[in-house]
Amino acid sequence: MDYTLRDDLMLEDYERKQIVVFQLADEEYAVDISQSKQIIKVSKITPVPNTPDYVRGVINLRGQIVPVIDLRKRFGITGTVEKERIITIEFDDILIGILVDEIKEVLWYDVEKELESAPDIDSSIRQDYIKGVVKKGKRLIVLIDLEKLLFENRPVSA
Amino acid sequence: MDTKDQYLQMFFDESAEYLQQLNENVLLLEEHPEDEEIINAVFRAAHSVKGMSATMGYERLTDLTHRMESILAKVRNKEMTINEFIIDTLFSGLDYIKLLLDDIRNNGEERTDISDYLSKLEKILNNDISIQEVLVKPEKTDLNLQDFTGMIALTEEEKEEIYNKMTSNDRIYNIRVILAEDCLLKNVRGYMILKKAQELGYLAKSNPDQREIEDEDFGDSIYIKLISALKEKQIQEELADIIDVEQVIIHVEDYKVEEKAVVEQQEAKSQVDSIKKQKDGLANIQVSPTVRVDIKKLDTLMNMVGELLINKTRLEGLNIDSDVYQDIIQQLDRVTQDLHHTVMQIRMVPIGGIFNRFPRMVRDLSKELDKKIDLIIEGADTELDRSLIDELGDPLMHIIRNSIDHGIEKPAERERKGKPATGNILLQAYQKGSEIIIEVEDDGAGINTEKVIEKAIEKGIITPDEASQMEERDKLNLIFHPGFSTSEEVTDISGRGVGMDVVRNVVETLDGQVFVESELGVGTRFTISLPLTLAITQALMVVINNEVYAIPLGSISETLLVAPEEIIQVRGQDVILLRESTIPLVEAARQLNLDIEYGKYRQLEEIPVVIINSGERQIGLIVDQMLNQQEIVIKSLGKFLVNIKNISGATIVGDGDVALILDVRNIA
Repeated sequence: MDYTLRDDLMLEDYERKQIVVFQLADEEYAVDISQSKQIIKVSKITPVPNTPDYVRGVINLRGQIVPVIDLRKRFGITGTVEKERIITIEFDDILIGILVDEIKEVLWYDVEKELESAPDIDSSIRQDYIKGVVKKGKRLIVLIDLEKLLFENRPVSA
Repeated sequence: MDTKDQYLQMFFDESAEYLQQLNENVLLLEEHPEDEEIINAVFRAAHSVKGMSATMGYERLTDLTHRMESILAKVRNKEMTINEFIIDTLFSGLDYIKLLLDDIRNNGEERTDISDYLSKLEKILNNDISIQEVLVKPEKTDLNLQDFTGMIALTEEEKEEIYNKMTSNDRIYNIRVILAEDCLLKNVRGYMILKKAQELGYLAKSNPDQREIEDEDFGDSIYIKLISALKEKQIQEELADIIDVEQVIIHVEDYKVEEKAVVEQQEAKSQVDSIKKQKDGLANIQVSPTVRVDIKKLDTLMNMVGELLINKTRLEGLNIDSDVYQDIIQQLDRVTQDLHHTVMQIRMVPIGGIFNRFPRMVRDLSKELDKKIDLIIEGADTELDRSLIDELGDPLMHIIRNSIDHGIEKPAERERKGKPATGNILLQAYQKGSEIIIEVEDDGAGINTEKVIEKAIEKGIITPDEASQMEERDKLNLIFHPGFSTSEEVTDISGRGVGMDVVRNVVETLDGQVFVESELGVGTRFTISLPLTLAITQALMVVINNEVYAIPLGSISETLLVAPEEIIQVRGQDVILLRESTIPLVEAARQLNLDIEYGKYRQLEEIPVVIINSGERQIGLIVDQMLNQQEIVIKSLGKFLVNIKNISGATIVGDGDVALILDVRNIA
């Protein structure tokens, strides 16, 4: 009993969070693991006409139609890669897939010590889509504010 | 869902139903203030809400309904007559109930302050001190005097049935069994009470009924109408003997068996005996053979039928040359179709569910605007998919509000125009082929298209040049244009900044259409047409730029292969002649803004053209290839991709790929 009590106390002392780290061009990005549902290989993506170019299309995920967002296009990064992966994200019952170059790993980070808020780092993406930067030694991992990124300007055709 | 949530959900569902009943019945009461059956119905519903609220521990609701009940009791005992003031008071009470229910749903507790309203009720009640005392301070002695027969009133048919069964020895006992406040397992006690009553005689009616008792959906009392030859004292003792029964009050009805019954005494007695012996006697109390199912479960079921259908299509695709295979496919086809049909049937509910909220709204609004309006409802029993019902409420409300606000004129003005002072709004629903039609028609002022044009130009929706070339119908349709109705000039009544464009959007998301017809000075009619079934439909599969698309058969009139020579150019537009009508050709790829070279079809030997009905026009849609016709399961693109131009949804085809569904209604 004593043991668990102490564990609880330690958890309160410093909060740790888990993130999914992925590669996009030359930079490392991450999303909160609580928002990510699963990682899937890219199969056939059906393009949807009359949508912005960063909407790559829709896929069939076990009978559910899921839109897939091309993060490279969304951030205006040019070029394509061969082995893309889709991370599915869920907000308020809305399931969305985001297309990334490569999944790197799942990491814990210390909210107090390792997270820095909106720094002036040299990133390809707009400041207000960044939640913060996780520092792991020399590595800088950009935490993306997915909600803002995806829902700020919803793709609606005129 | 844990048990508490389940009960809470049940509480919401049922209180919403009772609230609806109350609204309807108070409206009826206004028209027929003397009708005792209506008073009793209102009383019963208010009582049920009170019982439920008390069980769930919501004090304000309990207080509120209790006071309303008290007023109704006075009305029933003829100590108070129904007047406009009382009706209004009752209505505002219903509004408070709704507010409190919303509070509980949204915040988990009652927040609306009802103390002012309660003191108002108190004042009304105070006109007669004695009654108030009985009701507010329920002393045991007073309880004995309180008339509760209304709780277990019988319908004429029930009366006839029961009176016929009675012998001269039988008495009708109206019994109120009061359970102890701290009674545990109320449903079990309730069941024991009913069971005991059946042993003692013929149980004609109970309130709560068996189902309500099982659900513990009642307050502290069970009311029973018992037909028995036993003495009052014996019944009293037997019932009082049950655990947790605090008090048993018995009133004997002074009904005497008529001559006829006495003559047939022998026969009747044996009947009563056999009834007494019936072991499953509990079934005599109104038990409805229905179950309440969460709509989500039906959605899941529907999805599973969809999956089954997709796999059936895949199986068919194998096309094996074997009798056994063909036989299985046929059987499977039949079963999936029946299954689909049945599930759709289960999901169908009468549209009355949304219609019945309008009489109250019309009453309130017309009063507010000093107008006289009759709302006539027809076809309330027309059935519609449940998912449609939920979405339709707001658009219909908006249209009706518009009719009240802008359509129907004030009585004086109507009389000047030679119309009856009371305006009519006809709300009707009916089925027409595979569509459901809902119409809202008023005999008001009609829509002045000149004014519409003026406003549209002012808002910059059209230019004066364009206006001069518009047909009457197109002018009228401007009211559906986004930005036509803006919040700056809408009145309290018809809008909170939403316009007719919202109505059209909602209807179109449901795969339906909305039209308006209007004649100045005569009236306006809005027509909404909706598909009968949503989830599964027949479609033609086509290829456009290497992708498969589905076009619902409902919007296709025919398909053609056109030779390039048949194409004629009219004012720069490719058209074909089909049975003497000119049909413009439209390239699907261009409609979809696909990034390819347009116009390549002219080099083909045969051009695949799908003739579609777009609004009231026909258009020839050029595709790359026409495939087969098949059943498709319509799936939404989700909440992220909404209102995508010319795409209404998606479906999953045999190989597991996604095919988009073309929305051809706005193709032009």
